[in-house]
Amino acid sequence: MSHYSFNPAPTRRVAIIGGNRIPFARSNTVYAHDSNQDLLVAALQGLVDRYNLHGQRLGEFAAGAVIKHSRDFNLARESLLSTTLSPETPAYDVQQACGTGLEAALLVANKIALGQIEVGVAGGADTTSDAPIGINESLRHTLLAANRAKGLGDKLKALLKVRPSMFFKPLLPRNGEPRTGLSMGEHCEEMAKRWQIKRLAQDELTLTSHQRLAAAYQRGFFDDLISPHRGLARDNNLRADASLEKLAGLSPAYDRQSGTLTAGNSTPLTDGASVVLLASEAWAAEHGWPVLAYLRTGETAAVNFVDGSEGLLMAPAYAVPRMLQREGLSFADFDFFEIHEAFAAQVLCTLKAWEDPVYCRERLGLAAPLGAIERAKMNVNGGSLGCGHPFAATGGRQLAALAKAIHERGGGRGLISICAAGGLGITAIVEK
Amino acid sequence: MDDLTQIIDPPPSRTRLLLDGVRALRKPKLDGAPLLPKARLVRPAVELSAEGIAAYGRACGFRREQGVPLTYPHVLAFPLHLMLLTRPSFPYPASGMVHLANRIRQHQRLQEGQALRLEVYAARWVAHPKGQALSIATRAYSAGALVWEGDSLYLRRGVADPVGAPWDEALALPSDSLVRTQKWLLPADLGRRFAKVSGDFNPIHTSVIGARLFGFRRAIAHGMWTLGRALAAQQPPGGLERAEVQCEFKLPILLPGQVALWNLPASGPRRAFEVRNGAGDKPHLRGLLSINENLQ
Repeated sequence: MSHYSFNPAPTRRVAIIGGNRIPFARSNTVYAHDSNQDLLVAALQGLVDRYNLHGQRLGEFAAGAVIKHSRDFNLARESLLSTTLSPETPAYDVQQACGTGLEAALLVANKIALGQIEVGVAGGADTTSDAPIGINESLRHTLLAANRAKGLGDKLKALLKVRPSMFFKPLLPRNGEPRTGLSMGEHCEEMAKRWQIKRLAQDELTLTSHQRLAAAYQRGFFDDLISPHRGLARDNNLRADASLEKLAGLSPAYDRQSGTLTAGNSTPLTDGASVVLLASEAWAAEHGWPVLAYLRTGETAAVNFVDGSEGLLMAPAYAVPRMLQREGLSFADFDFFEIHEAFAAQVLCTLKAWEDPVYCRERLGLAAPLGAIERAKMNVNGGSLGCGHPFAATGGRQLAALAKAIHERGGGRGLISICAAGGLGITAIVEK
Repeated sequence: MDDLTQIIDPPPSRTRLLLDGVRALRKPKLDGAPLLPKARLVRPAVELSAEGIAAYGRACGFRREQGVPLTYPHVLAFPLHLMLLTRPSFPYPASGMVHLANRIRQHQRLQEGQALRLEVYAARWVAHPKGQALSIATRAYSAGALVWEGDSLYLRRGVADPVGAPWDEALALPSDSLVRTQKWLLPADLGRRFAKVSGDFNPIHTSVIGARLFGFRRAIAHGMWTLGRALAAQQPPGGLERAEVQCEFKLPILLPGQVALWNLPASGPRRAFEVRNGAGDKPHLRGLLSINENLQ
């Protein structure tokens, strides 16, 4: 009889010690000349400074970026080598669209829970200012053919196929789903129509996001969660003077005739990075750091949006009830809800879906609807609409902010929910 | 039937087809009812080659895991359609024939490397409100069995008192409940790219000047490209066993342009779809795809 060798110790609780991010900046503003690596290094070094991790060998660093150059194949490791952490800390890249940051945290947390590592950092960075531009596909194929050719003559013959026009038609990154050609905003517009989400409700949610973010800055909530970068101390998407009138004045961005999504109630392209420090309770005690909260579990779901049977950003609607059922919890057991606001409409579609008896029965297989989420508990310190959404950095931002909110409250339980490209949804439970 | 079976081997060259097309631009005025061409054009063994399928797939957006595209044998048979339409005995100029509708049925799985016997013949005249239409039949056999068949409806506009029984009823689709699921940006050179894989160098698809000669402001997308693109978006991975697609070509798509695919989530073997303009209020193509349903 063979002995099964994957034999973990009893699982341990995973402590969230803290987090760090740089202020998020709208695309092509303050961080216009920073690469993903520059941003990630800034966030990670800030964490190292705050928790005095200089020279320490951690269990691992897992991080990623959604919009990525091919040269960044080892983004997390290369970033780590630019910090004062021990260069003997292993690292790897994770990429799961906008779920990257949270998925990275779940991966690190699982290793801690299983006793494989004691401490690790998870994170993510994204820049749409320093986006990769590929060379023209025909030019690329021609150059590859020349590279394959043997001998100078054949190489030159292959290169003769290069046409000047190839240099003027580069391959630009697209903000669209590869399989549908529709931008995320267009997909969300379809969802808003399907769920009949009103413009006013979207603008109200947006306003709340800005106001709560401004209030959180005001009371110093982010003081130990953010390191300034390039002279920026707070997210430059934040409009403290936002009003319903101003939001109402914006024209629809994706469907000029009958759309309700605008540049105001959708997140802008944003540059930024965030990281979270996770550890075993023993490590936390040994180093004298209080535990903000524990990362209890996570659940990922995916929906078929390709044939139109489900909205692109609806996967969290499926992930959350599965996770709640597994953990024996209901919405009443939660004190905080951190719902990523890619678009105000997407949040409202998800909330409406959870309240809809027919949808909950037919799509989610639930006997009764999940019910309503108390708005006073949702995104209490602002959300992506206020601070912006650098894709892979959003999960780390939410996880650290939620853990701190639970800690400030003296305990409690929170839910994180993130929708992502490709019909993905990543969710997690944090508690203390 | 006194069918005249003509073996076509090798296939006609591009030059030959173009020259025949030019020669067929002028036709003598018809005296009485048109005569149906009697020839049955046959290519005894056409290979479903991996390279051919790949090139066609790239042009239309099919992926390798989708197997042989349902529309691919049509492309292999298309030069025979042109030969039929450009024959001296055919009463109308080939380049003025408008492709109105198409129906394809596949009876068994097609494999890369398989050889098909292709037969193309004029099936019958079809009376159409806008003129004289003609149905061209394409039949594909493998080891003696009919594996794939296509029926293409072409129209010569403005012919008074057309002859023949009418075509099938218009497709009944739940147009109002379709939702937009894809958006396609069509480049200006789409027609030229598709011509390289379809062999149809009709100038209305490949050049602005050519298109203007025939009354279009710009080059227009090839209807069979639009159908191929729509199937590429909807054919499941793993290839098809039995399948049928019926389609009607509506407004032409001017190039470059942006169009969208509208359909319903697949619920059962049948799937209605439309390709519409950017605003979503006018159809370019209407179709019904049935997969693995028992076909008559």
